Amino acid sequence: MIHKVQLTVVACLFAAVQGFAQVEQAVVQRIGEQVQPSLVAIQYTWESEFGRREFIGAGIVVSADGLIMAPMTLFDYRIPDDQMKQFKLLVPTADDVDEVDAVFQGRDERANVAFIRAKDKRQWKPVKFVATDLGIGQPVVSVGLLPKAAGYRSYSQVGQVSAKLRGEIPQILVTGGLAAVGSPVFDIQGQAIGFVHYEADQPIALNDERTPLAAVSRPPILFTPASDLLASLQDPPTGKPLALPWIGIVHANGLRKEVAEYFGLKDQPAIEIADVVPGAPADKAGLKAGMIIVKANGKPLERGDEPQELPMILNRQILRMKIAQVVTLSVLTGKGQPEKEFAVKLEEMPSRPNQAPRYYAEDLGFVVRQSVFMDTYLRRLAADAGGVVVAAIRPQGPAQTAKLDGGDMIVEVNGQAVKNLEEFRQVYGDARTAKPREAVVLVVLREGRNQTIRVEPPQ
Amino acid sequence: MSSVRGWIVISVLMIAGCAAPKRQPDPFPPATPQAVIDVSRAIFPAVVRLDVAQEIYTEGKRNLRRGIGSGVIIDAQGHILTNFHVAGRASEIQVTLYNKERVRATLIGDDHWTDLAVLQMDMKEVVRRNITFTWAMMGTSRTLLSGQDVMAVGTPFGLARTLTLGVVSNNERTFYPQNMQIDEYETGEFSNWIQMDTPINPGNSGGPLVDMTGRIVGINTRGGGQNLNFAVPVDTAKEVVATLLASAKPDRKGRVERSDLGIDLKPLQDLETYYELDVNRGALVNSVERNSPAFRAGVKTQDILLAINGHAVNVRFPEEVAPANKKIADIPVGSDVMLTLKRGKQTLTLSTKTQRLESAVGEEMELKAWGMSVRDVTRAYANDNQLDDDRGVVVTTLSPGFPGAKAELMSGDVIHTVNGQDIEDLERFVSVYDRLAAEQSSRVLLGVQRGRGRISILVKVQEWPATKPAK
Repeated sequence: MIHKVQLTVVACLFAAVQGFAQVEQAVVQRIGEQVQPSLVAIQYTWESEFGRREFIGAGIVVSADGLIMAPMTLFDYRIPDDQMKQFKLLVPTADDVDEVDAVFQGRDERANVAFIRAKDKRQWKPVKFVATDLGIGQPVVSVGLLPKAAGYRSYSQVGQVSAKLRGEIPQILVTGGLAAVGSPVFDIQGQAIGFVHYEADQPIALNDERTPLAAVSRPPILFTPASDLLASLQDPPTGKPLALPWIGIVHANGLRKEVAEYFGLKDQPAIEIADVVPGAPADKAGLKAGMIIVKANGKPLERGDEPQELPMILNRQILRMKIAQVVTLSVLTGKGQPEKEFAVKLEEMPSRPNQAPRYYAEDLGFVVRQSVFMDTYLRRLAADAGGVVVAAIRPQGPAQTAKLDGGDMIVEVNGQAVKNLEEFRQVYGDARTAKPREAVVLVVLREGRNQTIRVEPPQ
Repeated sequence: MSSVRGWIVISVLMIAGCAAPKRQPDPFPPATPQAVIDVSRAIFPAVVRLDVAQEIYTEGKRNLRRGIGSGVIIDAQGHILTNFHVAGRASEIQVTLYNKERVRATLIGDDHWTDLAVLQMDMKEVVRRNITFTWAMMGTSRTLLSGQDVMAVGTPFGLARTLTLGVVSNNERTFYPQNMQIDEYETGEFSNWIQMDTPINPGNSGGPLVDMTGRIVGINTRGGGQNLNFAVPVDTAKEVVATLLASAKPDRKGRVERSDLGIDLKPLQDLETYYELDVNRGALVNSVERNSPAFRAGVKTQDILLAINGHAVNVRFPEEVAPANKKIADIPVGSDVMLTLKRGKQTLTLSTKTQRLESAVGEEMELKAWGMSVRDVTRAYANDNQLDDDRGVVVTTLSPGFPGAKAELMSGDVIHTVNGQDIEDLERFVSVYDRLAAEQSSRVLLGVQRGRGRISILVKVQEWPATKPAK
C-alpha cells in the first residue's frame, strides 16, 4: 500500500505538470446524451412463499438485441431464480417511461454482474466496453439513472482517477465521485472504460420510498475497469445458472510477509491451503491443508494489496477457467522442501443454496430446501449426509412459535430419517394428511447438537 | 472463642423468646414487627461486606476486577459463604464485619455451577485483635412455601447492613432452556431457584435470605428488577459447602466433582403421546455429545431415558431438568452406570462409565512476552465450538501492539503446534513456552486452527521477560 501511495503522489505531480484540463461542459453533455439511450431501469418482483416485493435498479444495454447488464447485488444471492418474476425494463423516453417485458438470464459470479434480456425486437443502442490503460489523474465521466422519484432521467458525475487498487477485483479509486452503482464509466473520448460496482452498504434501489434519492445521495468512489467484465460479456449466462469451475479449496490464507520468509519465500506472493474439501478436485490431486501455493500454471501468483486478498484473486482466476480444464499449482509442502507440481482437473462447482429445490410446509409455516454442498461442509458432515435445511420461517406461524430456526438442518420427521427433499415431502405430507390435528416432531441439527422440536398445528 | 460462642447463644435465646411459650413453634412464623427486629438482631452479626479483587484476563493480561458483595459467616471457624460471581477467582478479599472491623479472608473453594464460594477469614488476625463475630445457621429450603415471609441482608451498592423484607414468590423457579453464564462460566444447571419479592440489588449477592426463625434458606444471587429476585436454595448450598470444605487443601482450592454422561435432557411434556409413554415417565434425550460416555455406550438422540442404575428418571416439566441433571452429577466420577432406555417400542439397557464434568472454560494463562492469554481447550469447549477434539490451547485475549496481536492471531484461534511440536494441552504448552523463553527464541511458528481451516502464524518476539509466566 505504501508503494502505491507514493506512486500516486508522483503520478499526481506528473499530471499537474502535464496539465489535465477540467472536463468541458460540452464533453460531459455529449457523453450524457450519447449514453442516455443505453440506460434502463430493471424491475422485477420477488415472489417468495410469504409475499411479494418489487425491486428496481440500474441496468446497461450491452448488445443491440437487448441484453442488459446489472450489478449482481440487485438479485440477492439468497433468492431462488424461479422466485424472481415479472421482469420489466423501464426505458426512459423524452416525456415518459416505456415498459418492456424481459427475462432473467442469470447471475455471473465471474464479475459479480447479472444479465437480463429484453423480449421485444427493437434495435437497442449498446454500450461497448473497452479495456484501456488508465492513467492517474485522468478525468472520467460516469452516467447513471436517477431514481423513480426523478423519472429515471440520466445524470452525470465527473471525477478523476486517483489510484489503482487490487483487491479481490481490480478497482479504480476516483476523486469527485461516480454515478450510482450499476452506472457505466467513460473517458473523455466517450469510450466505456468501466462499471460502478457494488460496495458494502451502497444503496442500489431506485424505488426506495423512504429515501427516494438514496441511490444518488452518496456517490460511489470505486469502479471496476472494463477488462474485468469482458469474459462475462463475451460469454454471458443464457437463462440457466452458469456452470462454473471449482477446485474445492474453500478456505485458504495469503501468507503474511514474515511467514512467507520463514518458508524461504522472499518477496513472493503465496497462499497456504487451510482446508481441502474431501473428494473435490484439489483432494483428488493430492493437495492438503498446510501446503503453500506459489505458482498457478507456472506463473507467480498475482499480488493483492493485502495478503488476505490473494486467495480471492486466485479463486476469481479459476472461475474464469473452464470445467475439465487442468490447472497446475506449484506447491511447497514444508520449510526447505522443493516445489512440487500438482495438476488439478477442475470440476463443476456444486449447486448453491438458491439453486436448491424448495418445499413450502405451508400449514406449519416454514420453507425447507434440499441441502447443498455448503450445508454439509459447514456442519462437518459427510457430503452425502443429506438432510433438508430450513430456508425461511413465516413470521408468527406455528414453526416460529415452536422455535424452529432458519438454518436448522432437519434430519428426522416423526421418527423417520429424511435424507432429501423428496423424502421430507413424503413423510411430512403423509403425517399432515393422516393426522392433521397432531403435532409434527422434528429432530434438527443446530450448532452441532440435536434439538427435538414439536410444531403444533393451528387449532 | 468463648465470646464468639456467647453471641450465638444469646441470639438463639432471643428468637426463642419471641415465640409464644408452651405452644408448638409455628413452622412458618410470620414477619411480625417484633419478629423482624429479633431476627435482624440475630442475623446481622453474621453478615459481612466483601471487597473483592477477582482475577480476570483482558487484553492479553491478567488483571484484577474490584467489586463489592455480601457474605454470611456459617461457623465458628470463620468460614464465609458467598456467591462465585462475588468471590470466585478472588485473589484479594477484605471482610467488613457487622461491628465495622475489617479482616482479610482467602478463597478456599468455589463452584461456578451453583454460583457459590467459601472463604476463610484470617482467624489469627481475629484472635490477635480480639474481634467478635457470630454465625448463622443453615435451615432448609425444600419446605419453603410461596407467601412465606423472608428477609434479605446484605450490602446493596456498598450500603452495608441493609435489611429488606418480602415473601417467597416461588420455590421452584427454572429458567430452562435458557442457559446462564457468569462471565463465560456455565451456571444454574443443577438446581432450581427460590424466587422472592424481597428487594435485592447489586451488592446483595452472596448475602443470606433468612426465614423468620433466623435460619439461612437461600443465598441472594440475582435481581430481576420489578421485585423478581432469585436465591440459590440453602439445600444446594449445604451440600456444596460440605464438599468444598472437605476437598480444600492448603495448596488447592476445594471443588465439587461431578459426573457427566454427555446427554442433554429435555422435558417430555406434550411429547408423551408421541413417544407412547405413560404420563410422567422418563426423560427425552435431546442430544448426545460426541465422544461422551453416553455416545460411546450407544445412546442416541430421541431415546427416552427411563432409569439410571435402576432409579427412575422422570422429566416431564422444565422444573425437573435440574434435579435430573443433579442425579447424574451426584454419581461418583468414573462409576459404572446402567442406563435404561426406550427406543421406539424397544427397551434397552446400556452400560458406560461416567466421566468428570468439565467446564467449557479451561485453565487460563497469561503469556507476557506475547501480550496475550490462552486457555486449555476442554472437552466441553471443543463440543461447543465443534472442534474435532480437545487438543491445543485457545487464544482468549490479545493486547494490541504486542507480538500476538501483531502476528494477527485472533481470539478463538486454537494453537495446535508450536515450531512443529504438538500441543496437547495447556501443561504441554507451558513447558514449550518456557523453553522458548529460556532460549530467547525470536521467531515462533504456530500451527493454528481457525474456524474450519488451518493457518500458519509467525510470532516475532523481541523481548522475553526474565520471570516465568503467571499462571
